[in-house]
Amino acid sequence: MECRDAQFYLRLRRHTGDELGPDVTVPLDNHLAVCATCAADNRAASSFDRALCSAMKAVSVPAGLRERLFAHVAGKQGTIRRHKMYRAAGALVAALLLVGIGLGWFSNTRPKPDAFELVENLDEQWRDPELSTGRWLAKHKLPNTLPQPLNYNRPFNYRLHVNHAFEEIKGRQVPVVVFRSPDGDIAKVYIFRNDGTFDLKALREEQLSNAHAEKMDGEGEHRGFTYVFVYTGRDLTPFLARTNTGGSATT
Amino acid sequence: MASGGLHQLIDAHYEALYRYAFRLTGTSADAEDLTQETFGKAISRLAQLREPDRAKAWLFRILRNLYLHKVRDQKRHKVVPLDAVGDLPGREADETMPEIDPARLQQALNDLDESFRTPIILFYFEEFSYRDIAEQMDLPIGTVMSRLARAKAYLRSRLLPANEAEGNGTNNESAAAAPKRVTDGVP
Repeated sequence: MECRDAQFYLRLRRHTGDELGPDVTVPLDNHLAVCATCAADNRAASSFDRALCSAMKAVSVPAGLRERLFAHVAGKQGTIRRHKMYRAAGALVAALLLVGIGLGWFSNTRPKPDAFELVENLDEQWRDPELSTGRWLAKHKLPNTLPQPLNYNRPFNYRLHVNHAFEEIKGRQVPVVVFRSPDGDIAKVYIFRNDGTFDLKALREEQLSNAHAEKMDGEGEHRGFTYVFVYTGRDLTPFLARTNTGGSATT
Repeated sequence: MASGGLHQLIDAHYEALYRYAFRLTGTSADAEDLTQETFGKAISRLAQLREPDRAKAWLFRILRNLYLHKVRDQKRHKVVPLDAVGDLPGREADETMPEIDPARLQQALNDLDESFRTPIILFYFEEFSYRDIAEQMDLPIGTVMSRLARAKAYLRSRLLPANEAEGNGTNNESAAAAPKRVTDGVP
């Protein structure tokens, strides 16, 4: 090792625990063993390091500092605990507010049955069942009249109208209009959309001892729908108007 | 870590932290404030201390950050530009260095920029390794070595007995290798 390198490493050498590693310290020490000038510099650097280290550490710690630190920390911990408590209380209040707002919103958005509306609907159904049924059908995007059954050429008699509603068939809701004859027979008119929801080709005319089912493909304004008439009694005649002037004809 | 753990931390490190703070700030009152603030900050960040073995370095880092934050808020003080100071050990140095007056040392440290003062304090005072100092200051280890060499050379120039003799009755700072004082805090 040359003097120049030795001088460089002497600047970096720590004289209390060397970090330079043996690949530097061994050649450095070998050089210092044979170079009086560098060795003198090394001794001077060591001496300076020791003196500086000693002076650096000569700081007296004030009496009572430990106790003051403990007191300071205790105060700080109290503050932190209070802040945590305030934060938790704030979060709780916020959560309660949110729940309250949520409940209020839920409560306000729930549908409210209106007795007057119910009365009005029933009154309309009673006074003008054909109009009532027509509005209901239109509301569900269906032709607002029922077709005349094949071979009868007469409309349904709405004075015999009992109800219109949805009935579950094979898991699907199907609109149905119900009539009851003066003799107590019942006729139901099911309305199927020809939109592929049902396989309507499978529908056939059926008959039991006192119940019948007839299928009719809609035409004209009823195109795109399949109507199924299910009724008790001999035929549909008791459910139809006597004249072909409309559903309001009397029996 | 519970408060018991924090008390252990205080017992284990408060003296070293105070001394470090004193050497950084130069006054007892500031050092005590800084030490208190360090433990105050440590309470709220205890969860960050995942390796208890690194507690000392962690606390020193908090203290230094607090100190830097403070001095940034204060008016910059005059420091010695170390560009004016060489980094080779003085050949005229005596092989048997007498004791250094801690007050003179502090005066010399006060005139150093923090970026040089911190590594020299950690190097001599707490005997941090180059690597530890580099981690503390987020610097490459080569930069730390360079700054240490320059700061040591500066301290030698300020604290050698020859200068004391020369500077008798005069300003030591001007006698110490004649470093110029500047108003900028960054060397």
